[in-house]
Amino acid sequence: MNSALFTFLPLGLVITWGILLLLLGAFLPNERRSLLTSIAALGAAVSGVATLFSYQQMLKAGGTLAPLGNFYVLDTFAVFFHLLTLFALLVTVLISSFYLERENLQRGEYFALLFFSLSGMMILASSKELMTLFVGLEIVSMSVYTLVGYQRTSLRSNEGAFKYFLLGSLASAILLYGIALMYGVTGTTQLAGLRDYFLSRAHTPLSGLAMILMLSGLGFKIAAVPFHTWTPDAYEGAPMPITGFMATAVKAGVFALLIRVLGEGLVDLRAYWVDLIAILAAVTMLVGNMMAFVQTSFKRMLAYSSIVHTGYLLVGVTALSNQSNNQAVSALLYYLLIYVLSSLGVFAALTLLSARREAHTKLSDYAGLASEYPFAAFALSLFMLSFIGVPPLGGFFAKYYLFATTLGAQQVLLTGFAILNSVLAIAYYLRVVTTLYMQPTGEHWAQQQARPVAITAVLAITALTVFWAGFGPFNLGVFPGINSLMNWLQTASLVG
Amino acid sequence: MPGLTHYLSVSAILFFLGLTGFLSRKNIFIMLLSIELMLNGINLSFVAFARHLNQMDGHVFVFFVIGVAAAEAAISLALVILLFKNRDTINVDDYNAMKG
Repeated sequence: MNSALFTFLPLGLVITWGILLLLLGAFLPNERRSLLTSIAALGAAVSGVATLFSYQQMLKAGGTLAPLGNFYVLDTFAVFFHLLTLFALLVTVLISSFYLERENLQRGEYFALLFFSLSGMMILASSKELMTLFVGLEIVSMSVYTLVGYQRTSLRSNEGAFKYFLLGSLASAILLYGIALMYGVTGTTQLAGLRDYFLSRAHTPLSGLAMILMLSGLGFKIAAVPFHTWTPDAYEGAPMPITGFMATAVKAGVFALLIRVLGEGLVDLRAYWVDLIAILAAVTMLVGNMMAFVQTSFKRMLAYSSIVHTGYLLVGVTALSNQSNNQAVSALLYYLLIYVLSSLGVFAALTLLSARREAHTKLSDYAGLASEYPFAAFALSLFMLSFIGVPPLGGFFAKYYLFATTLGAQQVLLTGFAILNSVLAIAYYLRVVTTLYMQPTGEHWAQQQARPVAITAVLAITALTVFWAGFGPFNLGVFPGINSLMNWLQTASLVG
Repeated sequence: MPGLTHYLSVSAILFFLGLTGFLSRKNIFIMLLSIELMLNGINLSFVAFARHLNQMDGHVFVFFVIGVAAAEAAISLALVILLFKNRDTINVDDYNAMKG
């Protein structure tokens, strides 16, 4: 096989598996539908192995495979996002199996839609051309709109899906108008072409408008304040594993797009977008924190918490530039990795605990969980502490690298504000821990005894990784490999 | 003879008409039509730019946009039917099961 074809191996596998699952969902008799879970999990694992295999071929070919020019490339950056989103997919499939059975939902198109949305994310991470990126973003969004509304009889699910759809398609239109104007100004939609254009020519009012429209459209998709209004409703209405999928894989995919566009295409306009992004980041962190603090629903609090993390990531985005590109990109990737892993763990635990029809999503429902579910309570507290950034955990080092990079990029004020906000966030994250451990146990836990192996395994793996990413930098010997991970992330630069 | 500016003005007018309609109307169908209007305004500017730059790219992008718009319409109508079954209304202000 020609080594260029390996570029498309992961994407092709994911799409094929999606179609296969859709057909199986249609033709398998009802009593054998449980097979679909195993097939979907196998698909995620096989695609992961295929990605590693393609990565090897990519290294042999000298670091990048780009048989279609800039339309679809395989570089270290893309491989990182492929592996990260595939892992999120695998976890979502594993926890969905338990959830679908409990809620009595059909499996038919559920897994197929997950695979289709993943194919969109692969395009987001791999493409260097605006229209391809737009189509990838739409593939992700369309599949996720449907998945959010998957609980057809639930009013919340319907409404969440509809609000997400309306604001999502408005955002797509705004983003697309930005792309159209950018195409008109520069005569190209290739990110490399945009970069060449702005290297030699000045920024005009029209390209400024194009840039602002594109940033607003992307702001909607990453849920930055003031474009965040759909987030809490969509997150609350969606089935729990899908909320987890949106907070992790979808967010990572859209950030891949944002980093590509700002770090590669528009990097020479940094002077113009850096202040916009800084203001967006500051507002996002502050409003997200305040709203998270007043929530009584755990699920909704996590929605605002994910908005706050968008803010931190945007702080990191301000450090992207054509000089220090390397460091900012690797700090962002590391932060995304830790954030995705701990969020997956949180949503796995909540899927296990939320009970039929998602009866338990209020924080007060989780009072005294530790005596009935000691491991789940321990893992949840660990993830909350990691979100805060308590020193020996992964979240601390992720924040440390991110803020060190932004300080290096002279964003002193913004970094200070971000650190202040991570202190503010302690209030609501610690409230979760005290609720789990220091309040009398609710009676409803006694009736709920299900402890599926898959979810426990997911919790164990994500919790271990959060430990590993934290203790690793001390070179304890027990946790090897973190240095090589950091070195690997360093190679994921954008501008060669 | 109309030039690039004329086409771009019409396209901007279509886009902002759509945006205004989306933000001010409360009927689901009008809101969905407003989004279609915005997309068509964008299509016009793609074609106008493509003619101006003498390139084929812009013409091709329009087909992608039309495809995306069709997929959006399919999903939106499915969602509207689902909501109407559960709520008996197509006024977006009545969809308020979740707050905060």
